[in-house]
Amino acid sequence: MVANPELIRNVRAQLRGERMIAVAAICVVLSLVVGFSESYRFVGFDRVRWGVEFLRQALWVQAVVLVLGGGFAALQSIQREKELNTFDFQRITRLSPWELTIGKLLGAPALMYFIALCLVPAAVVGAVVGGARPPFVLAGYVILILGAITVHAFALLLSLLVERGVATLGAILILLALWTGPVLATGFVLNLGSLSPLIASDITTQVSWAVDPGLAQNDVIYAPRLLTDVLFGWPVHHVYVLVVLYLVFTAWFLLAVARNIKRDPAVYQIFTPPQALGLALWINLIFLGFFRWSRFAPLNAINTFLGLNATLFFALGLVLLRNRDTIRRLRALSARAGGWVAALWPAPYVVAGSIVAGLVPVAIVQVIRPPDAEWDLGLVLFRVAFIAAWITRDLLFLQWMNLLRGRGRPIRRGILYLAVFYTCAGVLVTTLHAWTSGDPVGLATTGVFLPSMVLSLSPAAWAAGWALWLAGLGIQVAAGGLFVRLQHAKLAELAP
Amino acid sequence: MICGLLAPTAGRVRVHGIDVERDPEAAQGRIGYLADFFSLYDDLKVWEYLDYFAHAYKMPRTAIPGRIDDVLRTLSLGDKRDAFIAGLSRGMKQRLGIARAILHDPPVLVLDEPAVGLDPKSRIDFKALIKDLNRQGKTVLITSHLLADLEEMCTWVAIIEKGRVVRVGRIGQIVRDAGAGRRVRVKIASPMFPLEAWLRTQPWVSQVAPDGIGVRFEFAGGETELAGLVKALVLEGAGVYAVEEIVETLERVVSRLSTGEAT
Repeated sequence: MVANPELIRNVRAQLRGERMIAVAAICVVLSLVVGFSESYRFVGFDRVRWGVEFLRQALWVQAVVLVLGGGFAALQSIQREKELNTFDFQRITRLSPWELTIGKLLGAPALMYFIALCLVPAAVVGAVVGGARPPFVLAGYVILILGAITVHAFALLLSLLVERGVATLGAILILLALWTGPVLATGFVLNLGSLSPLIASDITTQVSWAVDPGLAQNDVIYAPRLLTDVLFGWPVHHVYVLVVLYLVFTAWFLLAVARNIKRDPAVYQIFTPPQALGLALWINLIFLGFFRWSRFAPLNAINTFLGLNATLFFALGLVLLRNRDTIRRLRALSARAGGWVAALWPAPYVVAGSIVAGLVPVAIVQVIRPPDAEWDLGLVLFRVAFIAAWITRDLLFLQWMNLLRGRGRPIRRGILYLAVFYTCAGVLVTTLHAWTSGDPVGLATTGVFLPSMVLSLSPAAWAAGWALWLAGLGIQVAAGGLFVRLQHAKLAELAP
Repeated sequence: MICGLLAPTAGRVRVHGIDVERDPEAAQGRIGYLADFFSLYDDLKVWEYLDYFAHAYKMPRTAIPGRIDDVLRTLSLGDKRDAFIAGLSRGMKQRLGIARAILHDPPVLVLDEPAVGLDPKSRIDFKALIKDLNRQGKTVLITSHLLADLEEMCTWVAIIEKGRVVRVGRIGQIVRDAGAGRRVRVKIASPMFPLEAWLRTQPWVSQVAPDGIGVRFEFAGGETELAGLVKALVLEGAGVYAVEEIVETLERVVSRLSTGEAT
């Protein structure tokens, strides 16, 4: 790995002697200033407290430098090379996709790693003076580095896929959300602590690996400095959870980059269909494992999973959409690529995945729900089927749109049409009071145009109008069938 | 597509017998490629740039320093070995790009507009280099709009018009085929003389067309017949002051193909 040419190139370009001396000098000055200011932060100087706070500050700055600075460096690494037209020269070398990917992953943030390294002495001083325990300091650094690598891998994937301009701005926002979002969100829905590498500074000051079994029993909302997660009812130390999550997500992101980094951008395929399905099921497994079942009413718990999976499998479907070039290539390879089965694409994966992912939480709730809780098995099974039909219908529409001839990317037009459709449907449903009137026909009609409303369908309304809702499901399936037929006609046009 | 950068929608490309789509890395190891528009890594030194690509092409480690010196000498960049790329002139950067393309001694070179940006002396050196590489047994595929340069360097040519190959073969053959008849231009001093109409009545003459202040036509006869035609024209009182045979060049052939004059 050290002999990776791409890594060496980045190190040579970023770590010249003069620059390294300047960076090291700045870090020394910064460390001295922060250390000095920390001594005045509290009334009365307390060596141990000063050391602990100094250690935390040093880790926090290292995390910011590595996660954000390194993330932006990784975000630019491929995109910038594409703009300069140097990327093609790398693609035609004999570097394997994995060599190129690893070289960029570790090489692009080389300067940020050096800055973090220059701040290590400050952290060591803080750890010694503050009496921090070496295993926790080490664990903090492991989390910091693995977390930073996960963010870098994600940024690298974005760098491969996005174009400059607006897309870059969007990518930066995603990166920021990735950094801060989990801190805010995970504790309320999941028994899972912060996923941000910033938590490394909290880990360094811990004194015990013991977990708090009371968390599993009492189901308290996660407190930032408690490092106990609850996995399928068992308390687990957050460090172990983070290590596994970081490693697995890094592997997914790197797999996507390595699969595509040497390919023609016109035929990028982020994951193979089984890989994409595997990622969706892995995310479901995390949610199932850490979900706060006791905090949600059974029907709301199912809705949470259906909402998650609607988003997840819609994204998965978008990843799997084929364009005109891909169809031509497939048709050149096999006559079956123009048949009716091919025209179902990407429905089989989306339907199978969303049904399986939807049924598992239904089965769990069926077993663990309190006997007196509001529950209707027929309704939740219908919800699973209805949501699956909904996202499949929209994806079949987008797949057909993606095969239309036109300037730019027709998929963008398809998404715009969908947005316009749902906006108009929402305005009409609100104006006509179709949903709020309580009329069974109005409710079912609303469900056809705004399928997400099925998540708000009460057991009473379901009992009163289930036949109408089944008809609504039939209409969804028929709409999907129409797009299959249209796609089939397009496949015939794209014969080699 | 030859370099494996674009996926073909149909057909297959083989380089040295290796299918580019099935085994791209093996094929790419046998190709040296230069794009028409490219950048270099400005923050690297010249030798570092070549060292990076030498390792990326998996050349034997012990051979790399010597090979870098060789190509730098060949491209007259020996004195710039330790200079930062940012400080090189445009022509030097172009030469460094060529150095990178030939660094790993590939049997096939794919060069897209390689002479753009080179000064006259460098362009002469470059043509000599291409001929030398060809003598060493390498296949050099050049795409260029500088047709006069191609005529000097290349043995075979393929002319692409609107995405389709309209001619392919040895340059001499293509030029000969394009000019099946003798092409002649005549200029006269008497503006009142109906030269075009007169020529159309003459034997061996076809494709009469105005050409600046003269008239151009195709002549199917030999030298004797042409001499007779010119003599007749002089006797008609046309005031002939110039008769020239138009020599076909690759540039003219391409021009005629693109304007639809030739098919």
